Amino acid sequence: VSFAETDWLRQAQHHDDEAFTHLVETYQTPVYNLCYRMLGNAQEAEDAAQETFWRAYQAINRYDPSRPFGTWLLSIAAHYCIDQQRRKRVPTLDVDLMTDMDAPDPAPQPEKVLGQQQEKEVIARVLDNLNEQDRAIIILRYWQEYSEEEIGQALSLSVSAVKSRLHRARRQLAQLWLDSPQQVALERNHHESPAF
Amino acid sequence: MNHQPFETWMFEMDQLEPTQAAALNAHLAECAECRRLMESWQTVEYQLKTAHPINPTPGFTARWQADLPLRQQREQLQLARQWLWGLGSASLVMAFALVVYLLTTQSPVTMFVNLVEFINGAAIFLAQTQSILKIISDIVPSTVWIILGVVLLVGLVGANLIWILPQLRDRNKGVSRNENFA
Repeated sequence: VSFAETDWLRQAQHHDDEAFTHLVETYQTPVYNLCYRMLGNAQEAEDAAQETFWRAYQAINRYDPSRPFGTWLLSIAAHYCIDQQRRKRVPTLDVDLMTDMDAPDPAPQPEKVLGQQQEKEVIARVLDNLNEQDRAIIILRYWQEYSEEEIGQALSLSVSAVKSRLHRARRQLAQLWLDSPQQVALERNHHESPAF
Repeated sequence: MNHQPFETWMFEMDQLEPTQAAALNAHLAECAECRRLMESWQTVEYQLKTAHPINPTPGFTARWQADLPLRQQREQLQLARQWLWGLGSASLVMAFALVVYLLTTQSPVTMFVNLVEFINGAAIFLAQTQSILKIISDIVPSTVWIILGVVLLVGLVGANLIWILPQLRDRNKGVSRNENFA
């Protein structure tokens, strides 16, 4: 945590909206990425990320400064996305919709866009088959590089529960990959595409 | 063939002791089923580890700032609604409790008599108040009433401004900050 961030946090706790805006600016990508990976849809991810910051804004006085702010924020985001998924209980992946809604780079290189799009599809496809909590654990582990203790803190789980769920999720992902009919095509992409 | 503990170990490669890793490799060399699962997991893990974080569309912070005053207003409305619901529910409960109390302690005829007496008493009180006000209005000159009316009006307008101005200020603050971050 930088000095500036500590300062923003202290000011935000004294109802300084501008200081909180700096925190939004700093943490928008990890929060949005978590929401996107959880929900699989750009618009829902945007709404979820905005809602996460609003919840954090409302509860900023209850934030314990001894805990990393990022963990606290991602904990709010993960819980919100898990609740959203449980409410929907419908498949989250709509690859066509994702293709339409994601904003490409301003000057995209065709092969780069294709590679990243394929990558997104592959990741979304495998994550979509996990239950909400296991998906959150995988996202926090691989994108945030959180330890099992940090994941436990973020998702209100014990370390042993995280370990057991992480193992189950990995086992499930491996099995899904084996059973997937797209496996051959995606593996071919994996070997051929410069993005991988 | 027994695949344990190798099936567990293959998903925890980073936590294995050298002897465990060697035992796992030996098992994988002879077990095609575990080897396929292991290769599959390595492919998935590679995809996860090399996937790029996804950024929100540009202007995320500006959208946050633009929505903040609206969210605050919505929250205030929601709080007011909750407060009113609470007050209404408490009033209903109290009214119900009063009715139950009256029904269990008095006969309907006694209640009716008491009600008539209460209305009668209230009417007498209103008539007396009206007479007192008439006497006061005869004594106090009309300019004093005009001054009192103006003071009351100014007070009402002032109270409204105190309520409205912070909201207008917050709205403008949000817009001007958007311009800074857009």
